[in-house]
Amino acid sequence: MTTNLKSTGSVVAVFVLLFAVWIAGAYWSHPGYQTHPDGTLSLDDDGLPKLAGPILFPSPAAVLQDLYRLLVRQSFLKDIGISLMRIGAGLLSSVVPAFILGIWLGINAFSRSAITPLFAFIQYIPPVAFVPVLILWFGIGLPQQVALLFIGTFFYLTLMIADTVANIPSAYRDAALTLGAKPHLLIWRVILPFGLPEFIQHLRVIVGIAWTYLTVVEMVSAETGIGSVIINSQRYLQTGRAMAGLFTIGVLGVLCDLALRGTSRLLCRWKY
Amino acid sequence: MLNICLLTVEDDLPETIYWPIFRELTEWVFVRKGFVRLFEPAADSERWSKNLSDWRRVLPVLIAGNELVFCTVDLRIPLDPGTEPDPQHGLTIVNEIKARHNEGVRCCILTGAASTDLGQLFASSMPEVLFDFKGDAQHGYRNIVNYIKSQALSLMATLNFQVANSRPQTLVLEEASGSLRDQYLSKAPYYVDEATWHIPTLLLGARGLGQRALLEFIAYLAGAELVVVDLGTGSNRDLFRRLTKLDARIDTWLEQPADSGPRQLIYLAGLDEYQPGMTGEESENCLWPVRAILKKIRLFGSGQASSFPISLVFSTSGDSPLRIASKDTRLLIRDIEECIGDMTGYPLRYLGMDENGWPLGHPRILRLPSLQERGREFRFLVIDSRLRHLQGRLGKSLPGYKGQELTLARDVADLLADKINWADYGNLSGLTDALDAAFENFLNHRAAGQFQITPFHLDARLQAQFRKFVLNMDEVHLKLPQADGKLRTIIERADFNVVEGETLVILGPSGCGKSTLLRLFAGLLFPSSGTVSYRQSSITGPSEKIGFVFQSYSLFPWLTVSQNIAFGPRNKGVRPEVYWPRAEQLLEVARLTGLQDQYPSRLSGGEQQRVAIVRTLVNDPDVLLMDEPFGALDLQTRWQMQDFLIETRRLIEDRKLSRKTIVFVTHDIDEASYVGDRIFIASPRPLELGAQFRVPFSLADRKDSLRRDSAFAGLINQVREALLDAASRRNPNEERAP
Repeated sequence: MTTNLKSTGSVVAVFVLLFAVWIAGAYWSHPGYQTHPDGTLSLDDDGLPKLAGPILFPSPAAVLQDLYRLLVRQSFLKDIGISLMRIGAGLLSSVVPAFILGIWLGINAFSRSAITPLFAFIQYIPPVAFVPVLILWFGIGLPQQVALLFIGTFFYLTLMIADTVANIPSAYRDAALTLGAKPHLLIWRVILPFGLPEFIQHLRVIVGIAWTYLTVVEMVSAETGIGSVIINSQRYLQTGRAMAGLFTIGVLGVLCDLALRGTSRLLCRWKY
Repeated sequence: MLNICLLTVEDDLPETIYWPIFRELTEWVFVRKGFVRLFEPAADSERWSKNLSDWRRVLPVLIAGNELVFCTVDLRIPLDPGTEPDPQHGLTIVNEIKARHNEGVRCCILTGAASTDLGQLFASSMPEVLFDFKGDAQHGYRNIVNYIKSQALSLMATLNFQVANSRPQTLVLEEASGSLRDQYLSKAPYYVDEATWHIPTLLLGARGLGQRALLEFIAYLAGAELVVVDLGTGSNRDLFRRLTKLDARIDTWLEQPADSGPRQLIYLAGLDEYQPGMTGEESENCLWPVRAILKKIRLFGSGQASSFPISLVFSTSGDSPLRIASKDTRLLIRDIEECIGDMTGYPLRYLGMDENGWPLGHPRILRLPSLQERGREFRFLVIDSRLRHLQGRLGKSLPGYKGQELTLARDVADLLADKINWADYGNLSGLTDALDAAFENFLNHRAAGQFQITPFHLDARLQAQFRKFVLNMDEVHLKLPQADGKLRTIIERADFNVVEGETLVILGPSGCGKSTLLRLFAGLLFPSSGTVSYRQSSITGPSEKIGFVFQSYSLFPWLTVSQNIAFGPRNKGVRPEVYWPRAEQLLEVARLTGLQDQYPSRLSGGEQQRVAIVRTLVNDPDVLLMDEPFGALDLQTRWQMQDFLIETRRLIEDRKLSRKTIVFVTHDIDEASYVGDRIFIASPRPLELGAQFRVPFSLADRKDSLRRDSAFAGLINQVREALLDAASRRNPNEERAP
């Protein structure tokens, strides 16, 4: 209990420190205001003081303000929804086949040794390098985005799952067989229940990776989505909006992670 | 009449001692199990304290009509709610029993408490038999059991009892010598098996599964007059006539004095036509006669609380757990339950109910398993028994038959067992006809030359000899590919048999390939040449008949203890109510009760291995393969586990359960000598079996003191020499696997 409190305390402390640095940085990097030669502030049409230059490092309040404007005036929610839809479609397209293939590879040593080198080869090509080719093949749109997420996650996940399945101690298999389990039911009775916590762990990693590629693909070739909001903000020197976009991705990522960890705790009580 | 009831002081008699007694006796004679459960304060302390005020009502019921009294009551329990426990309270109970003593309670067993005041009191008031556990707490219970058996036998010898059974053979128990259980099993083998041997009050199951035979046997043991009320269904008028007849009989029983009258036994089989989903008039036609009878019984049952042991058998048609679980049936069972409750003076409301209204943990209900559920061994039993029955009739007409005992070869019985669709026969009455026809056909075909009759098919002795070998290896040689891709000989030559019921130990240094031998038996590996066979057929893959206890902890970490144990039965689709009582018993023997809901990671090494053993045993395997099962445990735990193994074997032996054949692999000489009946020395890589030792100690000898015995030390020295000898015969320069 005390260690729990301690760690919570230190987390809070780190956050407070970062926040303070942020505020200080924002204060320090503030461009100041334009002045008339007589020293008075020059005002814009609304009667507010004009800035001397763009704000490159906005304060937390400014970021929140921008986030609020984005949400209320600029249909940012729709962008978030589109991004989530894309990441959902992308993950669905890779996770389902990766599970099936991964488990098969994990069980079958021969196919594992045949396929693993190929996968390792593909895995070493940075998925981002596929973007031009994918645009040529699929144009710009959902298929291309899903394809990039697929390339970015499928091979990685397949290999991880195959590895997990292959490393399940053979004692469990033997025990199940001598207790009368039919060989074709081993997947349900041994592999899935034993591998589940690790599978969820893999999913957590994969979701993080998927967010990376989603943002990249949205910056490169999309008109909507969080990534495109960020890249557009850069074009118009709206740093606050860009940071609001980053902040949103961070929050969504943490929520995903928490959900998966919760699922793991719920389904795999034996691990905790 | 022989109902047995033992009375003990719980504090002085740990569970491990009184449960074996109790189990043995429940197998042997009709014990009123239900009451014993009710009065186990340790398990039922809550219920006990709640119903404390009722003990005065229940105790006379327990004692009355029992020659022997067994009851796990702590005699110091407070007599009334709110009062302090006091040894003096035992006096009240003792006096109660003393009063009954004059009425024919023949003896009282007192255990362990002879030194206490209470014990002195017992000793002085009932001097007939006094057993004291102080001297030999571990094995003293055998004395008690033997005493009770002798008492029962002498009692039964005076009854020359015959029970005529109309279906399908006549059950005649001429004399009460030898083990009654064996006699009964041999005469009616397919009615009763181990699972049904705990005789409850209420038997549930499809028709023709043996409730009636079982009941008749109980009746025999109880010295009862048997009353069969087989109402069936028919026209209402017909039923009414039968009911009035029964009514008259019940009235005559009522006129007899309560204490001296014969014990009555009632068989209710009114639901033969009962189908699930029946409603309205149809269902009423099935149920009303039974209800009427129950009403009547209840009427005359009340007021005779202490002198009316009653057993009811309740059967529904067809093999369907669905029907047993249907709502109407359930209501009916409740009616019966209530009826029993009223008559025993221990009403139903004192039993907990689950949400469906079933009595909770009720010990008096037993569901008889269907033919399908009883498994393959049981089918052979049926086939064998029918064949013997037909022998006289068919034998004479068979050409070439010279009066030998007609026994089917295993393969032929196999064929028959598979030819018949057992699921079609929920019960035996239809099956026996089908079986008889099949036999006749088959034997005629065979006689006509379409199948060759070899001596092997007919010579029972020859078969018996083969049957003795449970496992055998015939010129087995095994090569396996190693990590470097080369084939390497793991087993040079293995050629041996394992006899039924023995524990064979294979002793050799670590990594010599002895575990591989076990994997061959388990069907996880196959030999490069030669054959490995189980009961004369070669092994083609893992089977639940051959259980395996692994070296490392192989419990599934994602399942709780009880789920781990249920893993095997669930694979076979066995329902929890069938395997769970057995699992609970095993857990108790393994001292694991209360750990059911823990995950394996929370258990100690010894507990984990015990769970692994229980998990294997719950499948009821014929053979147990144990691969250095205690190797990873510290010395003290290992000793405990060895004792546990011996204790389990002893229990199996004492209770004449199906014997387990064990193949045990170890590198520990002490362990091999302590656990094994026969020891094989294995020489290392490639494995070859060398010298053989027979261990001269009986099961009863194997207790902790044996470890310090000089004969034991002598054996160990002999084995050690042989082991060193085997190792040195190998070329010492030979490359050893790391």
